[in-house]
Amino acid sequence: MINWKHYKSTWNGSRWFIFFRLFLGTVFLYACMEKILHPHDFAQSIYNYQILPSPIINLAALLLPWLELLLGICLITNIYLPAALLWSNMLLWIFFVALLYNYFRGLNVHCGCFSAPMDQNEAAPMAWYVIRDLFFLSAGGYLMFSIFIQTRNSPGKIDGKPVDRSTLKK
Amino acid sequence: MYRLKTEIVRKSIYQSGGIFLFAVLLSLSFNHFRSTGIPLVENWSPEARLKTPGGENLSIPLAQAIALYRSREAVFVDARPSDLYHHGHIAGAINIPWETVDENIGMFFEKVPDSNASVVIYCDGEACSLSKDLALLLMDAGYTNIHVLVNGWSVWLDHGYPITK
Repeated sequence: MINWKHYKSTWNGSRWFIFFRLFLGTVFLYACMEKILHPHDFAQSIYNYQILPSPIINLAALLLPWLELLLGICLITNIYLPAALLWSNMLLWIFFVALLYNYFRGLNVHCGCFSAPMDQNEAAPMAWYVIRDLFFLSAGGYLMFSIFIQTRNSPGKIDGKPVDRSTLKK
Repeated sequence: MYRLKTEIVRKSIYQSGGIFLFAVLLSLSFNHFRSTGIPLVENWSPEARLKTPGGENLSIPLAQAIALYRSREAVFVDARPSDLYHHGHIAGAINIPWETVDENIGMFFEKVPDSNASVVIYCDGEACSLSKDLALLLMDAGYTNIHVLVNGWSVWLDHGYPITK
């Protein structure tokens, strides 16, 4: 049986951890709003990526934004954090791979049309998307590493041993 | 020095299932009760998507399109951005890029004043939505004989029909 309170104390300490947790949570909350309000537009976007088969496009368009909403709430409120990070990282990687896949096969995901050769007008926003996604992935990776990997200096530990917070000086 | 916290991993897998089920529940019930809900399964094939709100089918088979082309009965319109048009297009097609349609649509009205003229619009890729968007706009403007050639540029090129580069 694991001591949940003890584990939670190991990831609540670092300021960077809190910053990236809130940042990623805000990103997910921001991302889900439009999609929840306009599910059919989002289904069209998924269709434009030309990856999912037709029968599950609408299901994905309905489910994904609510998943993002829950992940945003979990990340910001620090509830179910390990699972929220597992999902967040999985989604971020899926989005990133889908983006790269379509970039390299020359598909313009704004209209679902093939536009090879990629002209300069499209290459610039594409580079920006890739950099943005890499930043999200790094934040997600850092948070996940902090929670799932035990290091000697994990937050809340001194010399690899859990700190009894009641004995710390204020 | 680095160790995977297996207890946390195990716990997170259970929690992940909970988050997923909750998301399924929320999304399906919200979609069910809202007025602008979408069908859970929809036909996204080009034929189904190329129906007008009135149920009319916009899509034209390639054989019919090439017959219209050879008899010079139809105006061919390229809805792709102008740089792609200049890179190569169906010989004789005019370019009305959907991205800048407000600036270019006047040219179409000048060249095709007859609202009963056959018009075949194309772009590239089966999922390309530019042709349909342009088709609906022209139908709103009163044109009655509008068709969309699905994946037009690619199939035209594959069949070796006349092009201009």
